[in-house]
Amino acid sequence: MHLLRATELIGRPVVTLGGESDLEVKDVVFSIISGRILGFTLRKPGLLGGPVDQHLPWTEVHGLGPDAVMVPGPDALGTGDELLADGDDVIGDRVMTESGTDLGEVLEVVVATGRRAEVVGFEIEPSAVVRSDHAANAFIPLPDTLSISGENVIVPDSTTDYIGDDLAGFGSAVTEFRSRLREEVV
Amino acid sequence: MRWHDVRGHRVVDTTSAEAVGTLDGLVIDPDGHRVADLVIGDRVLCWSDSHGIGADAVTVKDPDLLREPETDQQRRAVDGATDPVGKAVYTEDGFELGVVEDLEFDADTGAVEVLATATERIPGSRLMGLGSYAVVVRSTRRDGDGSSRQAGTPTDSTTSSTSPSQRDLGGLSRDELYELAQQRNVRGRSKMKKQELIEALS
Repeated sequence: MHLLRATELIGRPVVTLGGESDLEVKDVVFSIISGRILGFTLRKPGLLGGPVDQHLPWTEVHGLGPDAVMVPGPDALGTGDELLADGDDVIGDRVMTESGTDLGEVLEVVVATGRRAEVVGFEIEPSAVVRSDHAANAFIPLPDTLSISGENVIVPDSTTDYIGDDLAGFGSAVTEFRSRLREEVV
Repeated sequence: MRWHDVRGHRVVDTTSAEAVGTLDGLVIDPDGHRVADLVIGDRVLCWSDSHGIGADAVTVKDPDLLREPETDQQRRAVDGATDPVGKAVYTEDGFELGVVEDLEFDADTGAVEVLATATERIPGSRLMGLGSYAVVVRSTRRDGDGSSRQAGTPTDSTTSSTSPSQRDLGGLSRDELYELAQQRNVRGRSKMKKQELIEALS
């Protein structure tokens, strides 16, 4: 699992599978309801580049990696403002366990790249409780579905067993965390 | 056959023995992974109409076989917009593999065999698209043939079932190799160079 912070995608080219690119990622738009990525706002690259009236809905992304966002073709881009976020984004929310422990504040959204790109975790500024065991910034894996209110993100209690200190080893923590959640359901 | 070696070759009409132009470009069919036409000046010559690309010249039996470009692909190739040399290679899942330095193709069939960057030899069969911005190639990562979605799909990235040969591994970037090494828990992987990763994974 190759992971990156969602904001690392800003400035990356949006490239069609035909090898054309006119635009790059201006910003990442998150859904406050699901905590997932809705899509990307776009801009023209370069000094003269500015915002454009086009966006890229998440559902049209073919593949996403550290160097580019790949789309099937120019038709993948939408126009207008239908992509506008359904509220403030998740950055700055407090992460709380189901039993009420504050884990910290969301700094960044962590994305697994590839053809099945998805949001897999948050980078957080840990609360005092978490900080005693972890580095300055910590990474928490997310379950497949999330409860988000606009101020708080609620995560399962078992999340605390899978808090990571760096992005490098975080992929396996995500995988282990999710398989444990599935076992608990069964 | 390397594009670097034949680019600029004279094109000679074997009937009159006169030069009719120079080999300036290639029209590449990304779906068929092959050279479809040769670009000679502002005209194109269908691959199957060329008599052959020799060591010193391209020969053609009849200069009338050189035609005006008709398809969009041909026009863009004549304009030089789709020459892969100098363009960045991206995988379909957004990894850059370097800049194309040369192209190797089969002298008989025109099949594109290798896209060569400074560090990689990417099999031509991975070619997906060739535009004015970049060359796009198929991903070799195991989730490469899945559909794009995010929530609700647990990834099975840790259960590696494939065991690519060293030859296949040569087409991967260091990042991709490192990821494979992560999956197989290869010790000391973070300090390995690309070639060492290939050997450890073979």
